[in-house]
Amino acid sequence: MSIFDGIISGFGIALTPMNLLFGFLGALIGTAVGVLPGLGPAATIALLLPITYSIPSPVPAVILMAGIYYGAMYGGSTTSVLLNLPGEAASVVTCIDGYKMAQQGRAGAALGIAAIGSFVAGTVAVVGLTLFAPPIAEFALGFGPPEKFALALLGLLMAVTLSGDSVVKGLIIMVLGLLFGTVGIDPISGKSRFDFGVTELQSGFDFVTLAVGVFGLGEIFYNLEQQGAAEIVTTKVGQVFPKMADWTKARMAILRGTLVGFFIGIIPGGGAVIASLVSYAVEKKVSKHPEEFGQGAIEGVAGPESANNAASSASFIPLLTLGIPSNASIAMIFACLLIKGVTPGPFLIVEHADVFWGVIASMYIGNVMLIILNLPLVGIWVQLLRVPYSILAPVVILFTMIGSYSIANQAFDLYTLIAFGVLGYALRKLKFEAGPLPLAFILGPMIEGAMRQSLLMSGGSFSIFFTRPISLTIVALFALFVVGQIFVSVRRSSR
Amino acid sequence: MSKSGQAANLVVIGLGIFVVYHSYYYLKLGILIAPGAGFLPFLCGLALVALAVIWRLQTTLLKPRSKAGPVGDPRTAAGEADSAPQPVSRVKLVSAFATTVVYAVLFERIGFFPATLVFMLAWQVVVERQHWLRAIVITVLCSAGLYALFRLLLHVELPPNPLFA
Repeated sequence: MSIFDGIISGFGIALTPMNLLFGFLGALIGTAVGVLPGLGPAATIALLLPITYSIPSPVPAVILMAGIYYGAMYGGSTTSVLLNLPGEAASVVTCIDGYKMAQQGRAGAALGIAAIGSFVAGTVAVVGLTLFAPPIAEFALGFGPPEKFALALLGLLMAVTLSGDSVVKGLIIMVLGLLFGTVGIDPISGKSRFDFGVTELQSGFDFVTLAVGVFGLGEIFYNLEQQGAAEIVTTKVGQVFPKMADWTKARMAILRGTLVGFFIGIIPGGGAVIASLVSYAVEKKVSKHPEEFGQGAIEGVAGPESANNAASSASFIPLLTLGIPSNASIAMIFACLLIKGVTPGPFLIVEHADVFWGVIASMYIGNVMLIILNLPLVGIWVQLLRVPYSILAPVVILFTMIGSYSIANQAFDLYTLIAFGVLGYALRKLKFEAGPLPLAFILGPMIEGAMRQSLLMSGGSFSIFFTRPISLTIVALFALFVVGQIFVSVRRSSR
Repeated sequence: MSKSGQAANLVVIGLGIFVVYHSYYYLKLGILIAPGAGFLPFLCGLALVALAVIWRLQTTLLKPRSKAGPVGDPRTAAGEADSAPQPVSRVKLVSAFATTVVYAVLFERIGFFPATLVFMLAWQVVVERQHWLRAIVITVLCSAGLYALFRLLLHVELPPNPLFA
């Protein structure tokens, strides 16, 4: 099937009433999640994963989850601009100039340019996804166990090194995730690992319970301890469509943000957060008036907001073509596909073309829905900030409990959930980045299986990873990446 | 390194040693051509110990970097925006945790709806210190809403009250 045929059939799937409804729900929930501080897209997708069991087909389930993910990128700017409090991590940098603009009475212009930039970047990135994903998937069809092992390990390690401030802490969490993934019966030897005589542990930890506990419950416990007193700058947002002067200043920033976001989004671990930070730095560097940054420069809002949307769409490329989730939210979508009996990877485009093209087409439609939801309805989203946390927190906890229980209908999962919640809370307190945990948990069994198969193929020699051209290239790329990281850290410490 | 950091460091080292021991003696490593069930966990255990030691050395031997970044650095400015010092409420956290554990214990024993009523009421009164009347209204509305959503709309199997089952 050619790309043109594929995308046409994708629109045929995405435009059915049911898929349109799930796309709309995803965009709506995503925007709400982006607006509400303290509940990120990863936690929300994790919370809703159990619901996907009752959705009959994989296409609407993934459309819903994808909508939440990129919808959160749109909504995240609202609290950054009005509260100086990022709704989600990728909008942290929007606080700097967005909040200043709000203080100067230009909240509407900041929110408007953020939404338009997000729309342009999101749409351009989906075009990139449409064009690049099929050839990458075709290339990956020839991958054997050594290539799969090298690629999964490379993706995981890159995600760890790029996702947080401390590489060592990130690696500890990654190893912990791999260990959690080994709990239960070993599929090759049949031996039960780390079950300590508990029958329920023989089938291993459930991904949903782990993700919901660490990201949902842990987040709620952490937020309860912090008694924030954030105040909305203004409830009068004003004119959201930017004036000609603002548009002139912002259009190149949107374009640069789109390119930066797209290319960073493809890299495992790159993601929306790094994309927005890099975009801000780029805008400041190329600006003729860098002194305006931090004082309400519209480019400081337009660039990062475009970048985080482009990155979130681009991060679907490694998922749909290689089966490698590049961040925690994408790992949740990976889990959603597995729950629905679909294995993400190079065979997805062949075996489940409806999922592949349907999801891509839904992203075009989702971007249109999101700009409609975000520009004229911004006032309604501002009102959402008035929902008291005293109601939101227990309701979210009930969602996590019901969701975890519903997977196997056993109370044991509730205790496991609370244990993972405590772990998530501890990680936040100790300033550990929790993202690598679900990534390693989900990739762990694949890495272990590919490693054992590779060793079997080579008669027990690790040289197999260095003698096959593709795996050698991947290993060489990783070595280059490590050398680059060392070079950067040496330069940084010598300054 | 803070006291909680030191405790976490020791926990990671202890966990690593336990995983190495358990993998080696109980799960078995196998041979390279056919690695056993303990092969990957063994490597993970070794890695945990090594990484925890490096983490410890990093924080004790290396000079801590100044927290303030360069002027205008987006990370610095954003960090200031994101993590302004806020007072902590341990009592709220502990009571919320206890309420959640009690809910897990009651969930199957007394059934979903009564357990949710108890949880919401306890949360509003004990954790949030709300007025009784407001607490009762919120409890009833939220519990009924969740029952309608999960049981009636999504047909999720939830434990019934044993008296009525």
